Amino acid sequence: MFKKLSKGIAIATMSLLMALIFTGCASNESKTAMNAIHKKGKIVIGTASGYYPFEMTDKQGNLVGYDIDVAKAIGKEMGVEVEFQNYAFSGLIPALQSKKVDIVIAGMTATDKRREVVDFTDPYFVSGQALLINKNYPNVKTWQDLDKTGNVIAVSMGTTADQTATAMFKNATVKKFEGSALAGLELTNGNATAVIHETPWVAIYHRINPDTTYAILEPFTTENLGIAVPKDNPELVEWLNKFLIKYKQTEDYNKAYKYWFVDMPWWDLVPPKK
Amino acid sequence: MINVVNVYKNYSNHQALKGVSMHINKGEVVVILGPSGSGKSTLLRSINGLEDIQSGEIYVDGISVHQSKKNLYQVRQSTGMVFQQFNLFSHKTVLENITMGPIHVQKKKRAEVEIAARLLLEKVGLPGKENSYPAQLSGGQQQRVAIARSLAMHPHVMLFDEPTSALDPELIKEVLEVMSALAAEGMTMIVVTHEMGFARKVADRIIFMDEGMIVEEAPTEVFFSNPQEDRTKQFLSRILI
Amino acid sequence: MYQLHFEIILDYIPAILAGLWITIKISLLSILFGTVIGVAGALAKTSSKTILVVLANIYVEWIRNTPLLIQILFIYFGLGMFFNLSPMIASVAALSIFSGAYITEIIRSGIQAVPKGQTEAALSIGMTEFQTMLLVVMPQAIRRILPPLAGQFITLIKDSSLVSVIAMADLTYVAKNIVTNTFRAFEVWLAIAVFYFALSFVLSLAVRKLERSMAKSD
Repeated sequence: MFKKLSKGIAIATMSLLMALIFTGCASNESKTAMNAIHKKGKIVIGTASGYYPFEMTDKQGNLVGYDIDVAKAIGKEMGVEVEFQNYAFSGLIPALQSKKVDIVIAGMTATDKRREVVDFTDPYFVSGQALLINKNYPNVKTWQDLDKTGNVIAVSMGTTADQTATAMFKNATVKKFEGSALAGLELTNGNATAVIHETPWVAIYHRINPDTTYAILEPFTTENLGIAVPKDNPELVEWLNKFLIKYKQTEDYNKAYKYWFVDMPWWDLVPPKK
Repeated sequence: MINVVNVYKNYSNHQALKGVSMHINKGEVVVILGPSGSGKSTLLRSINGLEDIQSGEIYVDGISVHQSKKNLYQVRQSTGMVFQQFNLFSHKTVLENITMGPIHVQKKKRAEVEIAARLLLEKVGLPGKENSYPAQLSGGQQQRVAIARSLAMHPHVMLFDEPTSALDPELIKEVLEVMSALAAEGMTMIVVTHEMGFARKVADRIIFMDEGMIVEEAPTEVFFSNPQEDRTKQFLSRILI
Repeated sequence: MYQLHFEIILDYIPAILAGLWITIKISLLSILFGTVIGVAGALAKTSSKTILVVLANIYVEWIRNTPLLIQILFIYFGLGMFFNLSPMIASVAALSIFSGAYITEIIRSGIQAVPKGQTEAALSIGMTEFQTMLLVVMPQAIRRILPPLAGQFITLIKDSSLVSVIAMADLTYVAKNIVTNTFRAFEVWLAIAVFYFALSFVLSLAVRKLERSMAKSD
């Protein structure tokens, strides 16, 4: 009896404490994110490795990719070190909210829903959702063809593909995995009809698994990828927007774009995602 | 009836039986005496296969105890063992303790087995205790139930391994009385005990063991009044008042 | 600034209850199969045949020294390359095999806690080893086994949260989904923790009652 009571008290106290901590946060807002970053001497960037070619891990375990190059350029321009923190995609926004990371660059689409809780820069890349299809299900031309009862659509939890699929598919079942790698594995194991993800990822995954998949690369949505920033940091958003405009005109940017999306010499450096 | 031929038994670090031979006739009551560690319990437990042996043979009613599993089960039905710690099945009633063997091993019908069981309970002086659990009985009562449990299997020989050593002094007599009555009825019995009074009164023959070997054996009175071996004399001088 | 909005959870109660049901179902099935495996394992470990003892030891050590998450991923995604395994089958299989190893130890020590004299008495009246185990040892071991076994069930309920990674729609999976839809990590995770707590707590009360009633009949 006593144990029951004390357990109940423990929970109530915990919740109360947490609530107080959060309301107490209001007084700290006077310190801007930019100042905090400069004071630390580093910018902590959250990302979710596994979305090629935006962020991936090479054979040595280092983060590489288009987003990574952008991140490094930001650090260089700000004059601070860059520290990456790798999360599961669905954990990125919570990480931003709880100030574990300063910004998030992870091939993340700037949706209205996300804008309710975080801010985004102007788009730094435009892509769209595409279809990766199990070869055992031929003759699929559009996502509507996939919407049949019994079909399984695998997606990465928390991505716009997740939201798109959940909203659009009425008959097929949507299954959410931590990360696109597991979603793709579900398909190549024969347990999913299709994976929905953005065009670059679909193209590359199909290239890795030509025997079990085919791809419809024509995007059926438009995805504006932005850098996510915690709310109430307008000066950081402005700085990043200015940076992006400048960056797009630099030699570094052209080289990066060519490297990651056109020539793709990194192909052999990154282990195949089996 | 029981033939022990040159039996050797080791535990990992010590020899418990070193070439023991003995013969027990039907209807005989034999008491085995000796200091602790002499191998008396080991010998007794080898007879019903609770201990294995390294060499030698043991025969009960002509059947070899240690040669095959099938023989072993048969031997165990014709031998009854009573333990120092009683070992009644604590989760079963007194009646169930007595009837389990006949029902599950001898495949007899419950009704007739229960009738026989109640008669046995009367015989050991515990009428009316059928539905009690072992924990509710005194040590002496539990041991008497244990005797009834063994008798329910209609054994040809009863083996007693220090049956009263764990009892309060006042409870010893009731158990010894049951054992004496059993002997008087002609049951073949091998008893390992320290109860000299019982040995002198009831045993036909005494076997004295020390350090894994039989030192001396003789008819009871001869043993107590005219021991031959020095070791026997030493033992008797120390334990007899 | 983060403002707490616990009321959003109310919208998701049906989904949460559905997830809770899946968690309970998976845990129940797994503890059942796990117990069957545990009995087999315990009997193997206490048998006189060396090969059985060795196999049982390998099984127990392997399971106890690898993370449950790895076991789940191996079964669903690894073995799943060769066999057709639904998430439900893979979840129950992984959790059964996992708990089976711990239950093996629980039952084994329950068996070994029964005094040796009980076995000797049973053998002495001519019972086979099987009869001895079935009629004398196991019934007495069970009373020692039930409390830790029930504890294992409660642990299993918490461990079952890992099946969310293979998209098994249990309570944790539902929670993850809600968080990604609402971005309210604090409220949602706290609420889900409360659900797991309630489930475990109610069960542990039942276990305590069970233990008390067993102690009474001693």
